[in-house]
Amino acid sequence: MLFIGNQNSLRKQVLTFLIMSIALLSGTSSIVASFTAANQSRQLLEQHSLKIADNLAQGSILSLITGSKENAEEVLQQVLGFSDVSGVAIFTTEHVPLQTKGQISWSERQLRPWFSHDAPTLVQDAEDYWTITAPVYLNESKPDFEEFEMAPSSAELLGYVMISVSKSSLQALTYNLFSYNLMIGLVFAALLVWLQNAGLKRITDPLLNLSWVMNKARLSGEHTYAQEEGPKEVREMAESFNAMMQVLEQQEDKLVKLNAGLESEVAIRTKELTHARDAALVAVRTQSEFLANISHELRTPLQAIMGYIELVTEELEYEGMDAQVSDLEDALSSANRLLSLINSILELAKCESGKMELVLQQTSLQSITQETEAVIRPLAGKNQNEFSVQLPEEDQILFLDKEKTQQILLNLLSNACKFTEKGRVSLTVSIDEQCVSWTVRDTGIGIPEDQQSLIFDKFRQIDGSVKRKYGGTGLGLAISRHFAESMGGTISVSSAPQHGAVFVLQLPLNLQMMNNVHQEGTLLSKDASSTGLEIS
Amino acid sequence: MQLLLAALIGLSLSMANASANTLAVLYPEAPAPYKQVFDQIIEGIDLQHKDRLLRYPLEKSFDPRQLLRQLENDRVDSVVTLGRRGFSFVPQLEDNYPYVSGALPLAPNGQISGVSLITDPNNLFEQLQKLSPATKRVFVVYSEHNRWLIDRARLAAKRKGLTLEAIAVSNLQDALATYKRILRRVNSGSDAIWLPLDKVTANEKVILPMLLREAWDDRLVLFSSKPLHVKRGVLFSIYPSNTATGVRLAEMIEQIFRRHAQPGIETSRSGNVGVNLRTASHLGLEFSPTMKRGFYRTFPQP
Repeated sequence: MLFIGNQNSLRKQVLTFLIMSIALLSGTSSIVASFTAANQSRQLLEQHSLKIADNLAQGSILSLITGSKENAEEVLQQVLGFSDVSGVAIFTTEHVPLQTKGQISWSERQLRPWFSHDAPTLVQDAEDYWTITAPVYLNESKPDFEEFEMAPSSAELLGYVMISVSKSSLQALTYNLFSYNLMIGLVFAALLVWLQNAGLKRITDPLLNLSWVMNKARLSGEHTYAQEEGPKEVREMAESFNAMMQVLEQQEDKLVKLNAGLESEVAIRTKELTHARDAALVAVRTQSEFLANISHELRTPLQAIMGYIELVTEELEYEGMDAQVSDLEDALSSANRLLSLINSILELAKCESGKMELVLQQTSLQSITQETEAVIRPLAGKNQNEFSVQLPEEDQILFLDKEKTQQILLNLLSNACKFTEKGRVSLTVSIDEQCVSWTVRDTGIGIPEDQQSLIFDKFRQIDGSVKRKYGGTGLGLAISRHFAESMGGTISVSSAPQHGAVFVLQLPLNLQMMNNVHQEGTLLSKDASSTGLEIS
Repeated sequence: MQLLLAALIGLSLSMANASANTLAVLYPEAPAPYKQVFDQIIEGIDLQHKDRLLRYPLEKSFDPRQLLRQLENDRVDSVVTLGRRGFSFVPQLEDNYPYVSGALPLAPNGQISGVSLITDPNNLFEQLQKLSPATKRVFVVYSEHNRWLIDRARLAAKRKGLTLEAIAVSNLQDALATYKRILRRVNSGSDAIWLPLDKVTANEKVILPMLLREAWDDRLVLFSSKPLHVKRGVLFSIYPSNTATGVRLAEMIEQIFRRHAQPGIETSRSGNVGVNLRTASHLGLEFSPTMKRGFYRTFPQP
């Protein structure tokens, strides 16, 4: 955990790991070695002390036989000559001290358990000293082979000896062992760390250089090359890096050349596209302008014609020429249809030329819907359709172009009434946080799926037979979509042949969006005007 | 005629049976070099014994009843026991077989016969006079169980013209005190101290070191019945002759078997003397090359 995920350099991590390992090894080995040596020293001193006690027991035979303190003096003096022996004593079999020398102490109650052993024994292990006792036996030297003896050798107990062995030298030795071992371990560890630091530096320097070159290449974006040095793996990495740099350099050269070619090509294409766009814009505006002009030019004489027809009709009615009046009414009706067509073309032209302007105002959802309902209801009755309107319970104030919204709704509803006979037409209004939706549903002839994307194109109806049967200019849905999109909304359709159709008008509620739409419309108008085109 | 022939054949057969003495030697299985001692004794027995000789090496824990059955099966007529292990079988032998014992420091008790490892005092004094002619008086301290030996020693000393001062003691303290008194009295020129084969009066832990030290200091002749003491510093001792012991044991068992005699315990009459030349030199004793060649062992060994 100490090294995983560490952000330090490799050398620092390896060195830290090695230092810790060496310190651990050094410390452990020092402690173990010291402990082992101290333990062995203790065992040696103990064995040595037991041997001294045994020798003292042998040497005390004469003094115990004779009961002579003088005889004991010499042997006790000899034993006290050992550096660790601090006191000695000789006891009779009745536990009466015959002679003592040096610092040695006991209590009467201790003597019985201490003298119960058959051989030299460590009977007391105090903090600073040991007490060792040994029995003194008088026996013949045990022969190597007892077959030549009449009876096995026997031993006679003569008394006991006791020695007190100071632990000071053992403690000093233990302390010295620990301190020297630790010191040697530390020196050795320091030497190893120094050596490993130097070795690691030698090994990791090429890697660091390579890393530095790579980093430099990354930051500067230049194609710098690394020196191929150090261990085999690092040399291979440097070689790979250099090869990569070489490839990158070649590829960049190619890219630069390719880029230069592409830029010139893009410039040419852009210029061509600009020309094409400008030409298209000019063409569209010219077309729209042409349509507007034509419509204007057509409407003026047409209105004059219609005025004259109305005058002639009044005069013929006074004169009771009913047959001619009927013919003139047919002519007036055709003129009205033509005027309506011209108005539609004019409106579409305005839309396409960007000259159409939105008139945003606050209006009630219910009022706009109910007004539309009032217009459509008689129309629905024509084909014996059942017409229904569903409104939200709570009214909502909308901010939109009321006239255009109504025009869209009227267009959708009139289409529904027109293409439905003895069926149902419904208008459902719903509103949520984002938008308001008007859903026009009918049970009419429906629209094939492949025709659904085409009905919003201008002058399009599903086929010629429809036009012949139901009439219409084919501009209503195109204009409605233009109006909806200009207000930031959409018109969608879903239908199947003979299963009716569902048209949904969705307009956003967001005022900002509306404003943006309004400004966009304004900008579009300005843009259109900047081209010098104008739709009247 | 036929009857006479049959009677002669019968007589000869019965004579042959009467003379056959199948002798069994019971001895401990011993490691080298102790095995050699028993081999040499058995060799001596074999030299002397003309009939069948059977060897029974005994393991440390042998079964006496099984051994007895074995002896019966082997139709053994007489037995020689060697060492303490062989001697431990004597209670089983007493009512069944004639026997003699050897390779032990046997003391006469009127019941057993054999050759003791204890050197005959006569031999000791003979060697003393050869090696230290100036010695006229011999001191010996003994325990009660060695009285028989001292009795023999007195006779031997008398024969050799030596004065034997033998003092009986009852324990080690007594022995120590007695030796100290003797040491105060001795004349190093003409006196000697004899250490018998006695665990009290020749105690190797107390008495021997003290006597060796004092004898060295006072240039006093010290000799012992225990050969191992020569190596430690006494002037001389006598090593038993194993082959001769074997021969004598065979003679004794033959005596018992044929004549139903009871020869009793005989001391070792070996003349194999071991001399500590360093001690001799310290005492100012000089030996001729001929004498030196006659020594069985000399110490210190090179």
